[in-house]
Order: sequence, then structure tokens, then C-alpha cells
Amino acid sequence: MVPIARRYLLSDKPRVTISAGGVAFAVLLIVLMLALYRGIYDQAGRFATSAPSELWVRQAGSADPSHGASILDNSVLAQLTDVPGVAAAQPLFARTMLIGTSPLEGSYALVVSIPEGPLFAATTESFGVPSMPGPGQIILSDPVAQKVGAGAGDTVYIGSSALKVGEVSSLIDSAFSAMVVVSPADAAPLFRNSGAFSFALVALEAQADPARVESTIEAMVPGTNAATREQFAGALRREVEEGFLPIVAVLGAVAFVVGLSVIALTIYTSTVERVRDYGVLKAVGASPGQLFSIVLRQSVIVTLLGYALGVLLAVGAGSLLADAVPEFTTLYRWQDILVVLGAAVIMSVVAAIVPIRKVALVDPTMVFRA
Amino acid sequence: MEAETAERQSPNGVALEVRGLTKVFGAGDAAVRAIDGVDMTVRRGEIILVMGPSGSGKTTLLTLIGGLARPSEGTVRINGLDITEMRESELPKVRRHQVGFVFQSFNLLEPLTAVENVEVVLNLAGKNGRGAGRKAQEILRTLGLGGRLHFKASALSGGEKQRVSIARTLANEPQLILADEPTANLDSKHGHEVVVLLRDIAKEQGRTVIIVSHDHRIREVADRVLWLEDGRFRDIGRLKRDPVCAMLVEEGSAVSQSYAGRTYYFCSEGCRREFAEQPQSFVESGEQTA
Repeated sequence: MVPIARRYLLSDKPRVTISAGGVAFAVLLIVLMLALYRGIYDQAGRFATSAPSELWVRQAGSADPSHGASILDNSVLAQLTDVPGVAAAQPLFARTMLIGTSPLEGSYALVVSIPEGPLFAATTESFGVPSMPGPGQIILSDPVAQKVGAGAGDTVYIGSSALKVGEVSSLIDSAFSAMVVVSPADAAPLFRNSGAFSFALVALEAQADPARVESTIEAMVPGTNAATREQFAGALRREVEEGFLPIVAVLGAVAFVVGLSVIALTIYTSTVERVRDYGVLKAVGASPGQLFSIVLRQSVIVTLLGYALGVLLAVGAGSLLADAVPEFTTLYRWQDILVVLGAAVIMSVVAAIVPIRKVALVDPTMVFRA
Repeated sequence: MEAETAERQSPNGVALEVRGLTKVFGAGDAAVRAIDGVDMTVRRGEIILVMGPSGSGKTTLLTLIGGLARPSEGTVRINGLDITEMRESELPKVRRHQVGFVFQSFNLLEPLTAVENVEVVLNLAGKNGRGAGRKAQEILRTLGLGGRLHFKASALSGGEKQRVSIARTLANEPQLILADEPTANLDSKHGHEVVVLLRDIAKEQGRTVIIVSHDHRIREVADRVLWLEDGRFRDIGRLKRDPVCAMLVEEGSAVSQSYAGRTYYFCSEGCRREFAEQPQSFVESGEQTA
């Protein structure tokens, strides 16, 4: 079969290149934003899901550690161990604070400290802490080190307290704040809450029902909120969803309209230039459906070219941006890539509507004019 | 096989029957009757030449016969099939299988090659694959274009383009071929080739050819010459050739000028004035008989 659509399209290579480029840009934007959203969404829950214990216990009504402090009295630990089904309870200090290479300057990071306790080793391992820093020392995660411009051996300040960087490592960052780890000796003066801690990590006995233990904890230890890792992760991810998803949706819609406009303009101008050809095709017996098919195919070809290029660019760009900006964390899912493909197909069909209407109105008798 | 198919399709050997055909453009005081109550019957294998002054409705007549435009009144029957009764959605099928057009400006699809221009109409008729390609090549070879099959349309000469256009017309083997000024954009040699080609299509393949043209050479191969003026067929009368532009004009309605005891006939006042300025240069070369 003669590939009329392809011939028409490729008869003006610069135009199809520009058009496919426009679509690629739109697709790149959509895929990258989706991947960024997925990455942040996934990361948001990792702080919670990476705990070695089945349950998190925090102060009732507190938010995730990036947005608000959870403060639990030391006596809560003993109360937790009395709850039926609880095998062990481990305290964890966590608060978002300012860190930098000068006092009272810098960027915000999640300051974490893990005191000695029954789950100490497992907790340390779970959050990716290579070894507990000694007194006066601090371990920075890669994003923090890059942001504040400090490396091993440098001095950094949390508030006005000076600490020496022991090492820079890959830690389990939260969605909103990268992590740093300080020793338990430094945590108390930093957090100014001796006799208290932030979270309790609660390990369950074998066969214990997490839901039942949760409600028992909340009943026996008033002022607390107990949640499984997944539930706590869900709460953290909901914040991402509510905060980011509307923005992602709006930007995605804008990108869609941009891509649609580029294709529509290309196909429309191509159709107008070839209106006589469509008249000839009508005169030699092309049905409306066959003519529409030629227009639609051109639209689909340009879109698919742009889509393929856009996806490749998005993956490449994500990798480059992550190197340059550590917070730029992406997660590409094949389901999202397919959804974008579906959107691209819709884009190509909608873009062909006006040109198709133009073709439908072509008067075949015009081919008799010189 | 051609004859049998044509006989089955053409009752009493009549390929085209037009009755009371009328086309009115506009309405009220501004209405123009481009075609006004035209009747014609054309038998299979005939070559009909339709002549007439500019604006007489010749091209409109072709568009009505070919189903590209709807008449205001009247009927058009092609091989017994009344196309004026058909729905708009049925007419593409008529244009694919019953009618073929040859255009003055060739109207090839420029991004396609010669063979693709022919193959595309086969595709429109549902014939795809290698068979369609082979058939397109075969038709082009019979028209002497075997060495130009894969040339883009833009790379062909005028004569070659017109032959490709004719090949495209023949691809789906229509009974009726409608040609609008097929030699107007060709030089003398290529124009003659096209005339011979159209004659052979009619006589050897048994197809019916209706040609709208001012080209006197076609008169020599036409079975009948019809004169269309103001939307109506008139008795053709005597035809004379304009000594300035060589166009054939009907004696009764043409502008005339006497010179050296003879009367000369012209297509327009402009040609007459030009003749009057230097009659000797035209009288030596021009012939008045049709």
C-alpha cells in the first residue's frame, strides 16, 4: 500500500522535525514530572517503611518529622513494653533543624539520633547508617553534604552547635528533608528535650496482631498514636499527594495542551498546503474515511516520533538532574509511560480534528482549475 | 473480457445517458444556469469532443457526469446506473470504478513516484500488496513509461505526467473516461501522443471517452463533436480556425474580419484586432477550414 501519509509528512523534513520536537518536549515534561512525583512519593514512605520494627509510635496529632516535632516522655518506653504483644520498644530522636557551615545558617535537614536500645543495631542498619558517630561527630547524607558544601573532616553547625563531619553516606532520607545522624550524647543538648524522645519503634511478638496492639497502645498510653510502617508511610505519602499532585496535574495539562497545539498546527498547515491533493484524491474515488485516515496517520506518526524521543530524553534528563540536584529523585514506572502513550494518542486524534474537517469540506471540482 | 464486461454493464451498448441536465449556481437574480437542459447519449467505445467558448459550461458538464457535483435537475446514467439518485456516500465508488478523469494540469501527487500515483487508486479500490504494484507497473509500461516508474512526479516531463495521469485513470478499468483539456499544457509532440493514446483507449479497449478541448487535433479522432454554448448543446455548424490563435470557432457566432476578398473568423475581439494590424503574417500561416 502506498504510504501517502508518510510521504506527505517526510516531504517537509524540517517541519516534521520541529513538530516531533515540540511533542517530545511536552512528553519529556509530563514523563519527568510523573517520575519526579513517583520518586518523591516513594521516598516519602521509605523513612517509615525502612524501620526494623512493625509499629511506629508518635505523639498523637504530630506530623511527619519534617513538618513538626513529636515529643514522647521517657516513661512511655516502659509503658509500651507492658502492652500485650509488644516484644521491644526502641526510642528514636528526629527533628528538622538548620545545618550549615556557619552558625545559624544553612539548609534544613532531618537530624536523627538512635540511642542504645533493644533494636539499636537493626535500626542503625535499616536507616543506612554505616556506624554510629561518636560525640561531636555527625554523618551527612549526600544531598545535605552537597547543599551545605561540606565533606568528611569539615565542621558544620546545627544551630550554633559545632560538629565534625565523620563521613558522607547514602542514608534513607525523608520526602522533604535529607538526613543527618548525630550521636545520642549530642542529641539531648541539640534537641533540648532531656527526658524525652521523638518516636518509639515497637517490635511485636510472634503471632501478635498489629491492629490489636495498635489500639491497645493508644488505650494504655494516652497521647500517643500507633501505626504500622505502611500506615505511617501512607500518612507521609498523603502529604506528598495533597501537596504535589495538583501541581503535577496542572503542569501535565499545560504540557498536553502545548503538545496538542504543536501537532495541530503542523497537521493543519500540511493539510492546507495539500488541499488540492485531497481534492484530486476525492476526484479519483477516495472516500471521506480514506482521506481522514491519511490526515490522522500523519498526526499519529508525528506524535509517536515525538513520544519516543520525549521518553528517551526524560529518562536521560532525570539521570543528569539527579546528579546535579540530589533532591531530584525519580521513579519511572512502565504504567506511567503507558499512560503517557495513551495521552499522546489522544493528543494526536484531537489534533487531527480541525484538519479532517478542512479535508471534508474540500470541493473536488477545484481540481479542474489550473 | 473488456467487451463482455462492458456489454453487461452497458444496456444496449449505451455507456452514458444524460437527460434534462441542469446546473444553476446562485439564486434569484444572481442565478446562473451553467448547464441548461442538456441531453446526450454516448455509446460504448465512442469518442466525444465537447467544444465551446470559455464559460460555456464544458467543465461543469464533466463534473456533473463524473459525479463530482450535483445537478440542479436532470439525470445522469452511467452504464445504466443513475448516479443522480445516489447518496453522497455512494459516489466515491462510482468515481473509483465507473469513471476516470484526465486533467489539464495532470494533478499528480508530487511526493509520490509515477508507479505510486497509479497504485494509489488501486489501493483506494481495496487492492493492496504486490499485485497492485505489479498492475500499476504494467499499465505504465504499456504507455511507454517503463523507464520512469520510480521517478517522482516532479521529475517527469509534461508529456510523461499526462501519461501517468492517464495510467492512473485506467487502473481501475472504468468504462467512462472524462478528459478536461488533456493537451492544453503540452507541446505539439506530446499533445499528439496523448490524442493517439485516448483514441486507442476508446477503440482498442472499448472505453468511452468524452473530451473537453479546443485542440483541433482531437476533432480528427472524435466520433462526434458537440458544441456547448451558454449551457446548451447547439448544432455545431461550420468550424473555422482562428488564424491568430489557431482555436476552432463556430462560424455562426464568431467575430469576423474581411481581408483580400476572404472572411476570417476569430475567437475574440483581441485576436481580430491583432490580425487587423498585420494580416499578411497570419494569412500566410493560418488556415480557415477546420
